[in-house]
Amino acid sequence: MPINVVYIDDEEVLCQLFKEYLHSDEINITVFTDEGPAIEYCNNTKPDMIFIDYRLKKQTGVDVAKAITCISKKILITGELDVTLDKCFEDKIEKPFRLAEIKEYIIKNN
Amino acid sequence: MPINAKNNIYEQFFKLSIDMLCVVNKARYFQTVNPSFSRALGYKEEELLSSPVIDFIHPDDVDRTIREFEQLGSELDSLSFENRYRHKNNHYVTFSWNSYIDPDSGLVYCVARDITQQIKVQSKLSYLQNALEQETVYAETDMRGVITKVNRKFCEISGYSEEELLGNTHKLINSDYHPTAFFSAIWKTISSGKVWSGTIKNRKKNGDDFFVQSILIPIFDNSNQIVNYIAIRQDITDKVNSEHNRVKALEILSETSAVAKIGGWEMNAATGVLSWTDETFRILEVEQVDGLTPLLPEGLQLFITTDQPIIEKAVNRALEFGEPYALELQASTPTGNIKWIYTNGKANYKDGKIVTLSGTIQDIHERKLIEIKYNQERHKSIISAKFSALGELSASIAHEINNPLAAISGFAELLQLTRVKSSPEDIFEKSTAILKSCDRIQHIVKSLKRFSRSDVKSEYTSASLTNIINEAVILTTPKLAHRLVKLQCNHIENSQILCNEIEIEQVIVNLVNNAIDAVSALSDKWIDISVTETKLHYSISITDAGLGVPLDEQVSIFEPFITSKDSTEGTGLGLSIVKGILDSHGAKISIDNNNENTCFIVDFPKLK
Repeated sequence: MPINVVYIDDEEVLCQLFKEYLHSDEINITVFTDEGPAIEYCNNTKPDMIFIDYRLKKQTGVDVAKAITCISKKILITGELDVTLDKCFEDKIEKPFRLAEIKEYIIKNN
Repeated sequence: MPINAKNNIYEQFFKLSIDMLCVVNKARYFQTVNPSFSRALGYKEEELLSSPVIDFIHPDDVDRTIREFEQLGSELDSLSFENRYRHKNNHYVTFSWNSYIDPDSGLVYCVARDITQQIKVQSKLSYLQNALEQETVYAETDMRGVITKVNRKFCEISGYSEEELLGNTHKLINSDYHPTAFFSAIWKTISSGKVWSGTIKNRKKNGDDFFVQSILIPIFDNSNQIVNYIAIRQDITDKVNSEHNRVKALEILSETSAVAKIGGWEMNAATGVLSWTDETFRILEVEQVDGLTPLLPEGLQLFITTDQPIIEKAVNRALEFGEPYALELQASTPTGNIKWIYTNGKANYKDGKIVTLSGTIQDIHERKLIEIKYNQERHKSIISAKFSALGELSASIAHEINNPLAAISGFAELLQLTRVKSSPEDIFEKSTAILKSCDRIQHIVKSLKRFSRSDVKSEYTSASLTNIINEAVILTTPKLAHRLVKLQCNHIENSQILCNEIEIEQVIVNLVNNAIDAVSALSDKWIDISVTETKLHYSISITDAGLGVPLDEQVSIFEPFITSKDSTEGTGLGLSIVKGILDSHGAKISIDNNNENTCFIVDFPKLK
């Protein structure tokens, strides 16, 4: 069974990269640039792991994480310097990240 | 002598006489008139003979003339009288007549002289005499100064009766105001045959003083000896009193200008002599010494060394070309103070020539100090606003740089991962994406460059409003993104204005930042910038989702130190400085109360 991972970021190019690099037989990547469909998808499919960028189009990553009610692991991704980690997140990864490290992280933390 | 010759002599006498001769018959027609008569009235002989005499006489004199004629027939055989005849040109001439009647024939023989001119002179003289005696204070004295004649006015003004005045000298009405030498000088003048005129203060019978403008004239007899003196005087007591009031009004004016701290000055163009009002002396702290008037060079010395050439040049140009001036300079007073003053001047002409310069001088020291302080504050404020914007920028700049950085590193990782099987197109595509991200970072770093400029020069150049707004938007993008505020921008092409670009950019950054702060707490966060143009202006409207500025706050919103924000939020430039910058650009800022949202409008004059 591949690991189901969702990546939510308003930067389309990062979504593409995320999918192109990480999508494999082991990891199933679904990406969203809009928070609405992402929340809906996550609440329906209950993925294993959700990476959420802090600054989204309409809401912050914290708002989105709170709206996703399933128990999936939520990781905050941020390019900001001063975002404090809300307790609804398991972890925080700062931009610019290394995709290789993220892959490692996914496998290790599943 | 033959009869014919004799008749001929009379005929010649009749024809050539300068006196007017005529004979009037019983029917009161001219029987005959001589050429002189005909000439004097402008009628031809036939015309005169064809109408009754009465027809040529002034209507007012007709009755009297008829009576005279009747008398001549019944009571008298000769008489003299004057009456007026209508000239052919419709004016009247006055004739003086001597008439004789021949009782047998009833013919009246008349000799007339034209006395029109004489009457005119006489009436003019008597008019003058009347005017003098009725309208002036009139008196005559003998050689010793004893009053021999006075008129009603003299009695009225002096309060003495004619009896009291006649036989007395003018000592009766002496006010003791003038020294004896004053009167000796008058006597010396008139007794030497000259006319004296001047003002004399006299005293009435009741003790009150009165002023008369007097003309004293010596009158000569045929042998050129002074026989008496005539005094013609005019009561000018009211004028003297009003002059007194005028001086008083000047004093009040002087006090008023002292309160307003405005002094006046005048300079004689020829001599350079300065006349100053009391307040001017006070402002320049120059001691007033009676009889001493400052001269232009001294006046110029009253300014600080660096300002002396400025005022000197302005004064010289005003003198030479009539150019008016208005300057703000620093005066260096004799008491050692340096103070800011405003002074202006203009040329005054007489017969096309500059005769004087005049103007005002005003103590503006306190105002100027406040102005200088304000400008310093404004300068400081612009710098601190830059730091404040820089602070806000750095807070979110990480995000702006880290996102493309993440993309760069991601693509690089991908390239490494697929290095063996990658197609050249694939490599090209990914490296292009990397370069694109690099551009994004470079752009952000570029926008930081402006913040490294510390010089805030007030150089005005022609700049595109669109570019300025774009630059301002770039500076606020991080904050907009951070607060999730949507910004929309509508430009127009070719919107050139004359401005200090940095200052105007700061104005827009400040207005947008204010708008961001205002909408942060709202659920719908948007800001709309649009540029429109009218014939004379470019208008920038910055509208945000807020619901307007309460009317009572609008009055003070552009005042310094007014903010609706928490003290923890950045102070920015403050709308007072925004307004200050716009004022110095001839631009206007206002709030559009017709808009249901908060809308600030900035109007820039178009570049001519």
